[in-house]
Amino acid sequence: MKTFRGGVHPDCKKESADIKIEKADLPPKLIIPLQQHIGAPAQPLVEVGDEVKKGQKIAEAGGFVSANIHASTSGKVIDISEYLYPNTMGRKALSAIIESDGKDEQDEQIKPYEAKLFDSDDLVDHIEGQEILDLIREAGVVGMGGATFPTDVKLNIPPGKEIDSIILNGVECEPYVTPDHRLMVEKPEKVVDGLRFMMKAINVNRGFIGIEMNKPDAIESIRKATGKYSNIKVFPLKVKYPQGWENILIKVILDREVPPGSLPLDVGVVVANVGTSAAVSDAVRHGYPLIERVVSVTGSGIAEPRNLLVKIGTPFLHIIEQCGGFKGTVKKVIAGGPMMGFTMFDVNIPVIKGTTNILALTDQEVKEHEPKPCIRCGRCVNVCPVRLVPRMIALLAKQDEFEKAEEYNPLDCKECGCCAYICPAKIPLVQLIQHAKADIMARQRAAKAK
Amino acid sequence: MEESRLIVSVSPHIRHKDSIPRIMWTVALTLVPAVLAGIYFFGPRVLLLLLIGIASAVATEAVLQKFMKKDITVSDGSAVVTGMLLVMVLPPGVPLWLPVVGSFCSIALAKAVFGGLGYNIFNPALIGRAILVASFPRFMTTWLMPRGIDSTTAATPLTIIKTGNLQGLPSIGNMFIGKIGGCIGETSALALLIGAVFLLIRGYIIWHIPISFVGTVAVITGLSQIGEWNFAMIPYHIFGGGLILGAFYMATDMVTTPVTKKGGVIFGIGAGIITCVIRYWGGYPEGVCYSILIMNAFTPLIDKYVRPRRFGVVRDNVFNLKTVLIIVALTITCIISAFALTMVNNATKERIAEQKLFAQLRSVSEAVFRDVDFDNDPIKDSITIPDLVDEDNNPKLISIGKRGDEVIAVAFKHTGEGYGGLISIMIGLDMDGKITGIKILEHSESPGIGSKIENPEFSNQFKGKHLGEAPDDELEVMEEGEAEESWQIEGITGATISSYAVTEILNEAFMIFDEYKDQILEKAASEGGE
Repeated sequence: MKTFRGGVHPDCKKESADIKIEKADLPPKLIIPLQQHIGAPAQPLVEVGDEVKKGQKIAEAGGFVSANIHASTSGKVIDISEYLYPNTMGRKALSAIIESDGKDEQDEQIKPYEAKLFDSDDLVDHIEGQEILDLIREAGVVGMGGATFPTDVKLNIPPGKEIDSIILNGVECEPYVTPDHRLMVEKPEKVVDGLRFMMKAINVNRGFIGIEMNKPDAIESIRKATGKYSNIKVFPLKVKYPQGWENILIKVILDREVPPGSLPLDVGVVVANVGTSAAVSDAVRHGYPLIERVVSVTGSGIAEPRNLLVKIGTPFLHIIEQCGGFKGTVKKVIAGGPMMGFTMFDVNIPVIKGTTNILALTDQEVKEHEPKPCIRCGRCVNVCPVRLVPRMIALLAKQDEFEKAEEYNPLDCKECGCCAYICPAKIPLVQLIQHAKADIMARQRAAKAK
Repeated sequence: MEESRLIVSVSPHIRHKDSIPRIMWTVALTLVPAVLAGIYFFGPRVLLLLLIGIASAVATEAVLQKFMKKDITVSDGSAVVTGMLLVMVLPPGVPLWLPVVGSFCSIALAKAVFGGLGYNIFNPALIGRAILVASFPRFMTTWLMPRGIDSTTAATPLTIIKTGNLQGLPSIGNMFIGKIGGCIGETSALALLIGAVFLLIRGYIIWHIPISFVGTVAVITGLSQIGEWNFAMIPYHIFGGGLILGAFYMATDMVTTPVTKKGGVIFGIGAGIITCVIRYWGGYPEGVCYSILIMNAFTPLIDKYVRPRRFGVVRDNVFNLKTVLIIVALTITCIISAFALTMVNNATKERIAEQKLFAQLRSVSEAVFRDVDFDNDPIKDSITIPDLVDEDNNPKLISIGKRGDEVIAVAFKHTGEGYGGLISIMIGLDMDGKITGIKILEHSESPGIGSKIENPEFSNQFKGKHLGEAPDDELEVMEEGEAEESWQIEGITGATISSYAVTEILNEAFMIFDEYKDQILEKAASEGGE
């Protein structure tokens, strides 16, 4: 069984793994941020007071690296201003508030691809690569594993780069999180379909799907769906965090290492999340924009954990209430998983394209740890998937010795959290490394400005 | 609403359940099998020593933390582990106050002064032991025989190897289970390995350090025997001393050893080499303690230059020319010092031996045979007996005093354990077993106290003592002024142990004389005829 060096084994706690995806209730009001992706914010196409239909484009990509935004339901735009949205910094973004009219009426402009072909398996042979990219861009598809990088930009390979493989990421290594798992079990054809379109779009003839062994049902259903395509291979992987980080996945499946500061395409690979792949299939076949996604709602603070198909812009609170509300004394509400997700201080925050999971942890799990001196056990070094020396970066950051810290390459750190998770002295390693990174980046910017 | 006071924090939001106390207490627990083996083989007094050691380590830490106005963290178990390890590297017969001194040195001098747990450079337990070895050599080199072994002289397998007389070596099976002389917690490799396996499974220690350490010792021991293809010594060097305890519990101490696996391998190999250098060429039979302490000193350097290869980087810039130069320089320094050590040792060995022999022989005529009415040259007529060897495994030279053709007295050197090390004595005996004189040739007793054995008042009284008449053929040490019989002598007040040691050595010498008397006579007669 393939895996990688380093990493940790947190308790999986996939409590919603066997629960079927259900459609979430229509919320009375949606908060749709115009920046749900990496890159430039989208520019609004609607004004306050406008009536919109489900799927209608309400904001246009604001640059090459950007993505269109669509209305998730029909209703009226009642406000366009700054609102909180899920991000690590607690920032606000320009958002369109849509008051639902309850009809959920679809925009007539959304049409399937050429009536005869849209549900044919052969569509992929008839469609042009550029056509696929245009449809993906129009539908506002971004990376749905959490990174939210615009998918059409990712598939727009710069001249001179040779891509030989696409890897679909079905690893879902974070504890609790299950939307990809359910999607692979319930909609495997759609996942594989999207992969075939992406392979066509960049003219690659080799596809891999990496899935961890704790999802045997997903492996089985995806295997069935890939049965007739000999150029797509399913890779069962040992369970280990953070195997779902794309650089690690490339290492595990293809034994290639992405150098620091480079992208997967520099080693000839494109990696996409299985959810993204399903969204690509919808976009190409049905012209359907990315306006809903599967979100798992989990954790000891949730009365009934569920997997819900949620409209983008639905407030967390509305979703949590559909899961029986909070249970116990909830201390943390997290967007994403417990290893890399970010804490919310307000539950009136919307689900966006990159929201995989809503996790509520109670006082049973949330303990305050007083940091102790480092006992040099070396565990942070052994678990670091980038093979840094986290303890030294943290130690030097704590002493404000950022220039010395730079020698230990903190900018390579992906903040996967393995070091802080494993540290017996409970040192907030990720926080201290962030501190060092921020200082180094500020100095680099200042140097550039000169 | 319950969610009104949500906590905002940086990820990760879950933590592994391991903490410093959990690790330390687990290490303490894994030492229990070895401790039980120690209690079984060396008696319940060991348990008392252990409790005293732990209690004084904990008390020292608590008092110092209070004194320095720090949080008192004795419940984290690290002082308990230090106390346990310290007692485990003491000989079983040490006085009850010795662990108190040792624990104090460990915690105060090796840990607290550096800033406490996590900041110390050297392994605290080993610093404690090193200080005790330097300050109380007698206690630290006196061994008890384990239960079930009958032997008059107790020694560890490594002391036996060092003295060269390999007949006294225990069986490998006994050595593996711990039925040998040695420190309290180091003898049972079996019990130590049971605990170590648990730590390895838990991930509290990595195999890289102990395996490279033990492996290096095995390879060097093997290479040293290569001419003879006799690899029987390898298990004795691995299981006969403190190597297993040192490699699995001391060299794996998190605080004082490298943080990377690669660094761990370097640490292990270095410690292995130094251990062998000390064992083969150094003054001590055992080198594990010092080898680990020396490598502790190299740990910051190793950590600075040995780092894991970064993901996606083919050759890291950390490993630049400067680093290579430093490592090369270090290696060369090590090789040069090792060679220097050997060469000086070899160059001086013969001259020292020559001078020793000369001194011994002169002492025969000057001191030991002063009142013997011989008419030959006892030194010229010296003989050797097959099988009879001295502590360096050389044939024992026996000088013969003759009158005409009749052998009237013999003199030879005999060596035994004193308070601070070995004592060598030249003894002269007439053929009835009466002492014609003794001369203390070498000793390392405490100056001013034990060294009084050199005083003529002490050594002269042996002349004329009649071992042949003594009950059990043994001299008896009496209080000053109380010696009456021809086999009683007066001990030195304040240096009782040294007085006993001298007497004991003489008794042993007489036993040898008694056993080999006929052979000596035969040999002397045959050689005299030539």
